[in-house]
Amino acid sequence: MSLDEINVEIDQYFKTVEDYKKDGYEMMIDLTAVDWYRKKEPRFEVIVNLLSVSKNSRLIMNVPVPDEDLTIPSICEIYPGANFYEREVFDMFGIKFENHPELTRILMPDDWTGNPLRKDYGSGRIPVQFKNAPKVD
Amino acid sequence: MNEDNNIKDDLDFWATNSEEGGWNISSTDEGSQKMLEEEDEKQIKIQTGSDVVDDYVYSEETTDDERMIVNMGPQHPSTHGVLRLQVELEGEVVRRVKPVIGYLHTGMEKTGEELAYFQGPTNTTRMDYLSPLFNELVFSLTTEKLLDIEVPERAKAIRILMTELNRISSHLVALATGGMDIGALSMMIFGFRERELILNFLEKSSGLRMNHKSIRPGGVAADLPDNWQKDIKEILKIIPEKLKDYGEMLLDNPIWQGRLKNVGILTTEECFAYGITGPSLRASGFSWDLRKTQP
Repeated sequence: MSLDEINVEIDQYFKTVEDYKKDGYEMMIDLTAVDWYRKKEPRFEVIVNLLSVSKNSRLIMNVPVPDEDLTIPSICEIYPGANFYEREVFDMFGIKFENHPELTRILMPDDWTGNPLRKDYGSGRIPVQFKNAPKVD
Repeated sequence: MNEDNNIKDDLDFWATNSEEGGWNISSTDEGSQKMLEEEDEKQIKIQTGSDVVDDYVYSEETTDDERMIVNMGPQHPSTHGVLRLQVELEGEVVRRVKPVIGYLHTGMEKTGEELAYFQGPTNTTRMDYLSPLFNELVFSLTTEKLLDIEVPERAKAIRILMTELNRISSHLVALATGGMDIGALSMMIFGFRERELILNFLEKSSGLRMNHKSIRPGGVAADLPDNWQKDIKEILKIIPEKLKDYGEMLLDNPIWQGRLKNVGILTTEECFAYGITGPSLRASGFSWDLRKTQP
């Protein structure tokens, strides 16, 4: 088994994925994103994980997404299984996917504001009923 | 009064501290989830499920009365959890399904951001209540790889023993609930009965029947209990016998066969396109086993 990791520029992204598909990488196993908040420029990076069963090898692709325009081409045409993964990244990180068939929130409610997995999104301080017991004198 | 203000300040801090704005505090103040007083037409459309985008081409023989869109779930006895399906039916044939999967979202990743590495397994073990040890194992292995920690041989052996037992119990539940859904109700009782044997052992060694947090970064929580060999021998004696019985009971059963054969066929190409691996890919006739090809 071999494991390769490559960095791809965003304008080459769609074509690179297409080439790898022709090259024998039949499956897209995972598509996710990382928020390098204040650690790295540009801030967001999309990570695609491909698997070739014929060559028995895996490929990890890192694609930095420019800050000013959080948009990246969708690879649903190449791998239909990417549909839900891209919706999740859109939901959790707010990265838009061009030419995606139905780019809506997948996990959070439709009327939610914000993207929960961004590092600047506060976590776990939702007001809870009965949290502060009334004081007895 | 003063204290109330403090709490309010705290909440505002957490809400406004995120650049995204976070949730709207005023609507969830004091924990009350306000219902919208007026819902616009689109909102109602989404909730009642008539929002399915129609791109299916119908054959000309079907009339309009035979087609309908049914909203199934989010609570439905057959879903084993909460899952909403917007289903388009043509008579008794399901033409298209649109799953709405967000109801079970628990935000584990966000919780994990704030936990220390040692607290991680407590979080990940709750992701799957049938095979909790595997999630602990994966988290621990990743942490060890990142931090270059070496695990003692005995701990490695205990990990493998426990996860294999856990795998058997998890598969027994899959058989049991699968049998229940298909109509073999007795399978449900048998499957859970044998699972109990394994859960008893896991309880003995880790203290809990599920959500063990027994595998941790660096090793395991505790050594195996005294006389563990005796328990394992008993499990290994009973389970294979019973599995043979279940095989005879289910595989020759015409109802079981009739309900599973030629239903929901996936070809190898479809599996590749949707990234389906494991038993489903093997069932489509492609030889691929991660345990053999990428050990």
